[in-house]
Amino acid sequence: MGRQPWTVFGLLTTAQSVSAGVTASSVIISLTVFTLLYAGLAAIAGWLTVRHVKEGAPVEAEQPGAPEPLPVFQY
Amino acid sequence: MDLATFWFILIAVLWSGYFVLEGFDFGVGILLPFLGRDDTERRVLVNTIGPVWDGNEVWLLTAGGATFAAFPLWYASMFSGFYLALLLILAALIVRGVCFEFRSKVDSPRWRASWDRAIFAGSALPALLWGVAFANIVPGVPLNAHHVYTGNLLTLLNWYGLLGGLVTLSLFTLHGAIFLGLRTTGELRQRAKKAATRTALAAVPLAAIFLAVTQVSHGKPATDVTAALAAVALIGAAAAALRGREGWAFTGTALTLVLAVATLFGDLWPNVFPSSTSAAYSLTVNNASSAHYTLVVMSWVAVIFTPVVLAYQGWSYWVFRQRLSRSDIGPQQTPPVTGPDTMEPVGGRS
Repeated sequence: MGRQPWTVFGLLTTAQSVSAGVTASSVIISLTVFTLLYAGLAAIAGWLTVRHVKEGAPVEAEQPGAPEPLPVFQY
Repeated sequence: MDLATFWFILIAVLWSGYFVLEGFDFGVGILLPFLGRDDTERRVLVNTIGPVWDGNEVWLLTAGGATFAAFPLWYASMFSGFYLALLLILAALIVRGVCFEFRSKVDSPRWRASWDRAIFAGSALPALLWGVAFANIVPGVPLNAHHVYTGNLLTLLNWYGLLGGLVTLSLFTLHGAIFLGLRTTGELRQRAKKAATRTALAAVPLAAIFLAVTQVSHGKPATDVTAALAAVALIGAAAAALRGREGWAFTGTALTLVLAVATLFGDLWPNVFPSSTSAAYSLTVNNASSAHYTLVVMSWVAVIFTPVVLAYQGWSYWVFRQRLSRSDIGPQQTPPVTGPDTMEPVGGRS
């Protein structure tokens, strides 16, 4: 916000750098889609993280010499 | 050869690499609900592309980045013009990417089924839309004198564009089915083979019609050759798949995709983003490229780093080259059965 009205200071204003041919409605659609998508992903990721922390560390990991799960089969 | 031409060819190479590599992981995503009968099988399928799909996607980022740096006017016109179409692709790729990570984080059939449906949609939509995009770029889209796109999202959904979309959708599905024949064992491998022969019944005629229509309207002698070779490679791939020669079948579909991209880029040349409004408004290799100095710097960077990237990506495929079977998939969150065989992904399984 502080750099307004410039995108490149002293050379290019924000108004000049708006893409020609991209309508305001397109930008509203993309902003809405990305906001909802990332809000949803953040909620799921947050829920999974809390769940993971509550489960605690697995007992197996404390056994010395136990093999680590192979990353290739993690999915 | 001037540097702008060099970068035009390099961008074509990047798109070929993207379609060959991400093509099969799109195919695996599309086939996931049809080939995986239970959760263990679906996990086998996801794990065949697990270590490589994100690396495959980097080819798209590089193609986009190379377009931005070498042909800024092409990038500006195309990414602004195809704004909503690219938004759809991007949203699908974002959802698909997190699906792989999230699907096994909760041990519940409903949770996994939801993510599996999203993997299917997130793979099928871009597989369709890439074909739509290229089948619009080659004949040209409405661009005004300032190279600004004057159509909308529906302009892109013409019959030729949709035919192109069906071609990439069916080709990527076939490529994925053949890939699964190479990377799985037992019943899953047999089902993948059956899926490959069935998909070929759609992919071969669709691709043949698309290439013929493209060459009749936009062809040149040189691209007639690449288009014919693409058709031969595809028929060869289908025949090899039918006879159970999985390696040759995969080579065939990979060659088909490379030759199809070569045909489309060859038809485009010397344009990069032609205008259907007036040929005078088209963006060409010359009027859309960056300054010479930019291209010189970029060429040095590409010459130094491309071999490095190819080497480590090739190495990751080599490490994860073994076939996967049900017994490889252990219970989640716990280490697999102890033993030297399970410790070593390149170990003695076949």
